[in-house]
Amino acid sequence: MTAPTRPLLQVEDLRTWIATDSGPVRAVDGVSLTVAAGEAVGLVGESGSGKSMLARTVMGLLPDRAGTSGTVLLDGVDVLTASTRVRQSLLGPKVAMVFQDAGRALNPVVRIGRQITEGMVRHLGISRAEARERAVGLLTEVGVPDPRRRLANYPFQLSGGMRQRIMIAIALACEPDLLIADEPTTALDVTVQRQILDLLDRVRTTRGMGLVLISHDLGLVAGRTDRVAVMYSGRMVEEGPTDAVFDSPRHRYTEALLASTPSLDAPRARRMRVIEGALPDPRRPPAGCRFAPRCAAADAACEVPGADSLRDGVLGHRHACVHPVPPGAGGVAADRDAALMPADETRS
Amino acid sequence: MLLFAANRVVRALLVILFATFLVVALLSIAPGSLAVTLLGDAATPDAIADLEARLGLDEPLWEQYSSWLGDAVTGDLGTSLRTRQDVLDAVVERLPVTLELALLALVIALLVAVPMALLAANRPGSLVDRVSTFLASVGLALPAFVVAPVLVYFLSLKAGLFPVAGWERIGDGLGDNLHHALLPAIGVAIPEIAAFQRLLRTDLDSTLHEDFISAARARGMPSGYVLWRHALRPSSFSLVTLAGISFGRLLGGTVIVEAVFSLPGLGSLIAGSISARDVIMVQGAVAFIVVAYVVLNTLVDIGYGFLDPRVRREAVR
Repeated sequence: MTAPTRPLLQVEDLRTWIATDSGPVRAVDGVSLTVAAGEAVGLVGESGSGKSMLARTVMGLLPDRAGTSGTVLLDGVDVLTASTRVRQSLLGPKVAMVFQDAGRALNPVVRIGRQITEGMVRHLGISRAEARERAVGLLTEVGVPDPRRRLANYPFQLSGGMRQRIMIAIALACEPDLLIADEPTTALDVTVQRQILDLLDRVRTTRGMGLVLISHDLGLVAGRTDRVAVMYSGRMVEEGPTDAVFDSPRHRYTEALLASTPSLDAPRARRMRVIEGALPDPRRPPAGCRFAPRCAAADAACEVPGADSLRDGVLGHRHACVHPVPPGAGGVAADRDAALMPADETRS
Repeated sequence: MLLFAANRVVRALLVILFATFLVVALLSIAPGSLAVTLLGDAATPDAIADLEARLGLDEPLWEQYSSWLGDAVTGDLGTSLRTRQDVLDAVVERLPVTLELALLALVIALLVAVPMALLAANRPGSLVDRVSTFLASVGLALPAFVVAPVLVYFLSLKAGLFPVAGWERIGDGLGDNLHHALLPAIGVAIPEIAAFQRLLRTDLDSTLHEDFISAARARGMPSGYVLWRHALRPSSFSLVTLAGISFGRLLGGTVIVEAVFSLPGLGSLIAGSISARDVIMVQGAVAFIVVAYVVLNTLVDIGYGFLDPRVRREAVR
């Protein structure tokens, strides 16, 4: 055991763009990210920040008009250059994905049974009968009652929460080393969100799986990940141990994002802080820091190209800010747990 | 599902009543006296009145219809004015030819169009897609009266692969029968292939953008499997509708091809009866086709329930 452990997922200087009539949209623009075996990483950013495109690039689910550069090593195999056959052999046993809306990600005219078993039959080389037995076990594991009968059901016969549990069972079917969950609770009722997140937590720890939890909701990621990466307009702006990022955000964007999260202990009359402005045009992003046009602390130095390269910090807490928040100044450490409860708790 | 089917059957009966009423009314609505037309200018008034009474033309429309309907449900569609043949017998005698032609054409069209559409949709914008879609456009633009003679010229006269014309009953040997039926069926199928390919190609394209297709790909399933086992079925609802409509249409609409190949089918029966002013025969044959058409479309509607499990439940709710 002297060899250094190879990271499960190693994304290096990844660029993903989509050709449009008015020029390429740079969805992911030079992002690096590693996930170690068994590690839970949160990927946070608002809609359009590129977090879902990053996940789709790893899974090879980009539209035809998309292009990529950089490397995405999945257990040492570069999925961007691998043959289709090799790439498909990784999808399922190495990496699996839980989609945002199980109501749309389950085929409406295919029984649950086939949707769970087809991957196992293909990747694990087992018989249909054996795959069905395993499917029953998987559905039990994710808390679907009466699993044997569910196999014969169609998705529309099940509730949203059940569908998402089944989506998770499908993802777990080939025992992946890494699970990518793209906004797994956004489409669900608030009362069900917590159950699904707890389920993801449980299967991750019992199976020792790596997890990339993608969310626009910082609070959701806070208690459930080892590290968190914050994306803005296709760039990584801050990355580090979850506690460090939440207690002491260094990038002005992360700070603003945290401050705009509703919290229970804030005085009732105080208005919630919002980030003024909107994401920059992804076809013509600003030269330097992309958050500069919306940032109160920005000055000329922020507009120098390359101003938003990541700077190393203690314990691997990196940020891309020219004028970082002083350590310990911008956090929500005082009552973090209360402030960052998952949305379902604060609202229910 | 049962409730759903019952609902469709009731609707179909209403459509049949309305459509057959129109067919019967045609006799009275048609300008001029039918009896005069049939008997000629030299006919005596007595003869005209006699014929009108025999045809029931002197009665009010609803009585004409109710007596026609009463006869029709017992299988009596009247007697040909020209040949004195029983109309139903004549239709039933001609039906197998047209039925086989339509069915064969439909099967050929689906067998060709579905793989063409799948190949095209698999790689949108590729050479395969463009060639397949181009051929479909050409097929769509070619009417049967152009396609059929061209097929006869090249495949029958030049290559000698098929007989030029004529028909063999299935009872006299399936091989001989198919040998005669294949070329006309291809002629009928070509425009259908084109329509089917275009429709399925479009529906596949929108299905392939669905999340559940991404999800199947994310499970590492190869693209051929994803197309066949995940995309085809949810994309085929419109195709099934169109195929049902086409089949109904072909039952009465293979006239030109039947004429080119001199096939003893329903189309040539109707065409011949029209030119001979044999209204009773036309009426009976058209009524028969109407019923067949409605029944087919009802079966297609019920067939949705098997294709899409959601339809079954919606009908029960």
